Amino acid sequence: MRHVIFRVQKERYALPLAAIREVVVPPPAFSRVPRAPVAVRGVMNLRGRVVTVVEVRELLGLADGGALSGKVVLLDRGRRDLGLLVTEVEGIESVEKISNAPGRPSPSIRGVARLRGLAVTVLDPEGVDRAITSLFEHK
Amino acid sequence: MLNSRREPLQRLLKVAEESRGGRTISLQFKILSGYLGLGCALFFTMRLMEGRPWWEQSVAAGVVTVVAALILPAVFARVTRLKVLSRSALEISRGDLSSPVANESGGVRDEIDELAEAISTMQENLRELVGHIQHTAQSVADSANELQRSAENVNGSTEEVGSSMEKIATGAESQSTLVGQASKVITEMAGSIERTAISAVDAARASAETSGAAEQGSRAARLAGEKLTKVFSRIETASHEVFAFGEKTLEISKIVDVITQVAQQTNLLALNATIEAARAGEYGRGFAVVADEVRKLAESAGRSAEQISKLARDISGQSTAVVSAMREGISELAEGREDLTAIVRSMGSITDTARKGSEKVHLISESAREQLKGSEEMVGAIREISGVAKANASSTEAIQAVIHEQTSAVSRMTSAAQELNNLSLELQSVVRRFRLNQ
Repeated sequence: MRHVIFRVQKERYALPLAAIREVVVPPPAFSRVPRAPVAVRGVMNLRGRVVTVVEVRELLGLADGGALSGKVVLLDRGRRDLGLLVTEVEGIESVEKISNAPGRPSPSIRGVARLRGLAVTVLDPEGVDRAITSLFEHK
Repeated sequence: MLNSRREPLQRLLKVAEESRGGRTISLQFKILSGYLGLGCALFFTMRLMEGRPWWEQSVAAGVVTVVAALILPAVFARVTRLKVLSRSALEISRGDLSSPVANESGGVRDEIDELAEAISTMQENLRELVGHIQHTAQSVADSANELQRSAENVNGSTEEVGSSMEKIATGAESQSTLVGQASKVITEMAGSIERTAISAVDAARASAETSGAAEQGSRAARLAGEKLTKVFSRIETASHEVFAFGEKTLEISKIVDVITQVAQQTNLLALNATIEAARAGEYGRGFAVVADEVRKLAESAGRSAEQISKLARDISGQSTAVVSAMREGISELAEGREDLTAIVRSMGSITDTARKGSEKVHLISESAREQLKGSEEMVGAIREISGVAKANASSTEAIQAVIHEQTSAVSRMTSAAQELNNLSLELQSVVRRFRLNQ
């Protein structure tokens, strides 16, 4: 199954190709949303549509590793346009064997795969969507 | 006195006058007249005695004759004068000229009177002559004495002169040796002065060469400075060019950045195209292949752009390094230029100093030459002095010889004066036999 591979800082992640609409270059600055959670970076205008940009680092609870202004990966989630802010998109690769991630299972993470000798965390689009939604609900 | 000495003897002698006036009757006549008177008296006596005896007559004749013989010579001829005269002549012959010759001249003169007068004149003449001789002998003795004394004095003076001349001779000898030494010393001095002059000429040449070399060095340093200035400006130009090159390289880098961006965007577009193709399912399969090719191309372009960028960055860094090296070189060149300026200045001062030294050495050389000339003149003067000293010595010897001669002459003169003195004494003793006064 074909996945889009991207990096958040040094870590490599993968999302299924079907869950992604496109990859865009983010604008110089996002429009900040008042009272928005910390993970929500802001909104951006993409060809007349408002896209909410979420920082994957915050979403996954990773440590702060400096500024990242790489690419925005747009998820294909019907009417709601969600964008994940990542460091860099590496390309499209075929990921076949996905094993369970070690430690406590997270709804966002589907498992871990090996890709050319390097470990890739394979994310679950549904889990990520839920996590984002729960960010807003929790708020 | 001198005149009187020179008076001829004849002028001293009074000539006995032949006749002195008065009547002169010859003695013969007187004798004749006496005989005549005797005869007459005898005749008269005979006449008176006529007639008387013969013996009476004889006695009378005898008486008359005796009386006449007694009276007539005494009264008439005065024969007693002859005795007086003979006594006077005897006295004169003995040398007594003091008593005058009796000369009672009666009225009638005769030969005896003349004889007495002549003897008297002779005596007078002799007296005067002897007086003169005595006087002269005295004078001669005095003169001889004086002469002897003078000769002795002259002898003493001559001896003094001789000793002085001897001293002068020894002095002249020592002067000659001293002059010889002085000549030697001055000759040595002249030699050393000559060497000094030669050295001074050498030094002048050397300093002139130094001056010339320093001038050449100064010129070369100035040329080097000018060339350095040219190099400086060229390096500055080159530096500017390298700067411009570096800036252009930066422009290349910018362009490469743009290319890189384009490649990245292309890559992104290819990614999105791949995503679109995947969403299209079976229909998008061919499109996905094209999108992958585009992605590969974009990646290749990106890599190339990356390489170009790297190269441009390298070039830029190298040109920056070149520029900084050039700046360092320029600053070093500036220091070198300052050093060169200092060199030129010190070369100039070396030239000046060498020129001054050369002038001074020239002065030394000239004065040494003058000294040499002066010393040569001095040597000549010393030689002349030496000649004069030698002449002095020979003159002194000649003078000594003359003094010897003079000494012997004076001693001869002294002996002659002695002899003269003796002679005059003898003469005086001879003349003293004449008594001039009573």
